[in-house]
Amino acid sequence: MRVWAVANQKGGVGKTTTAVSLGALLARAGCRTLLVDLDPHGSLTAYFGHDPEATGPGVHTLFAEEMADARAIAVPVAPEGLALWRASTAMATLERRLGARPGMGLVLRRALAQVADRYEYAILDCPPMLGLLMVNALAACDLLLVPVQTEHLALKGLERMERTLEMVARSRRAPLDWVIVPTLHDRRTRAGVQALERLRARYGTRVWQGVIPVDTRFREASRAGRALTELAPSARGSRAYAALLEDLLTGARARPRPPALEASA
Amino acid sequence: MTRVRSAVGMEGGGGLAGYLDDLLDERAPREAMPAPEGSGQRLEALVVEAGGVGFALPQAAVEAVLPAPTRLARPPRGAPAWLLGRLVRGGARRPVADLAAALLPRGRAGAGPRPWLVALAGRWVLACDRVGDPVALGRSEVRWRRPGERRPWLAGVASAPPALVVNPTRLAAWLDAAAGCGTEDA
Repeated sequence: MRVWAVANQKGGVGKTTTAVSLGALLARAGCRTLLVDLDPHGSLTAYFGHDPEATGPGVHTLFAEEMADARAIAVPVAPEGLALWRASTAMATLERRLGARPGMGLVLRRALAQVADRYEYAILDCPPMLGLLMVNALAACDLLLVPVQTEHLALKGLERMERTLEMVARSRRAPLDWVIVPTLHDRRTRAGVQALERLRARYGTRVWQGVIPVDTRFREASRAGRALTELAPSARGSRAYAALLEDLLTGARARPRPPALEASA
Repeated sequence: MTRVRSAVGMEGGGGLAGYLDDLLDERAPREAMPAPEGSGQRLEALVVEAGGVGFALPQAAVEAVLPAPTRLARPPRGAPAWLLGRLVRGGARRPVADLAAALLPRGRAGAGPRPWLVALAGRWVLACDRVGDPVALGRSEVRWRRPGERRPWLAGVASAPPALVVNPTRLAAWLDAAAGCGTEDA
């Protein structure tokens, strides 16, 4: 099982949209995929019509029960082949209750190991702050996707994220591969274009060569509780995520994209 | 002694590295989380009856209670007798287990049909004879039990009301294994 985490210490940059879109595309391609909602706000959980206020088996169970059975907490979501480990607002208390108890950063990695034969991919949607849950995701993942909105302030936040990743890589005693995904890009604005140029100049091949464009249809899809790639596969946003997935799967994420696709995004 | 730290306020300092080292310490034993503050040491549970035996299901694990439909989708060929069929719910086909027949010794389960279904969060649906009111079980009113090989789903035995306290995650895993199926389809 390949594990991808989607994280940024800044909120509102498209983390959940990225997790949902890639998850749905993978499932549609025949890969059994597990989405894991690690954000106590439960955006991903709510996206699929589940109530984060409700109690029930989910990510919280893994931390609350010493012998939690990770094989029993998934719920199926659409499309077929996609499953979800739900978040609950109770997860907001984990940091206070568990602090940095030694080893607690490895709970998720061990839980995912229990279900490694059931899914080809797991995608972890992280909270926008560094803490127990994000550290669990960073410890468990093979690849980190960092969605970054192409605007000036988001770039500043990325520097902080970069420092964090260096430290996590040291602590987990394994390199942490990560790729920046430019999101919410509006090529009609000078600020957006300049921010994207600065991002590429500063981070080079760390930056995926496509962009996820601003697309109002993402909001429609969210209201419908479906991935945009399911609701409107030909929408600009859907095509951009399909291109991202293709590049991630082929390892060609830093390959220059054909100008036509870049222009259409 | 347990060290408790937080990432808040550490970023950029050497404290963050120590925090991360602690969290990612492979040698540390897994510690159970202490009981939630304010929980009053009580377990909110729904007591259901099947085959004349009470089963206390933690309320947090109960997704819905519904009357049993007249027909269920047929179980797969070769499925155990306690696997009654599949219920289409929320767009998914979820396996329905006769709670008594699955968990009680042969001959104790009594005859069906079971008129009530309890959908657990996750995928399993349990068929039972009667659904009682939710109760709050005092921790001292339950004789807690370590997970055993024979009945890993049994978390303890409550005295008032008398009921077997079920660990829902272990029950689901046990049913999965006993049914000989994965999570996707039963």
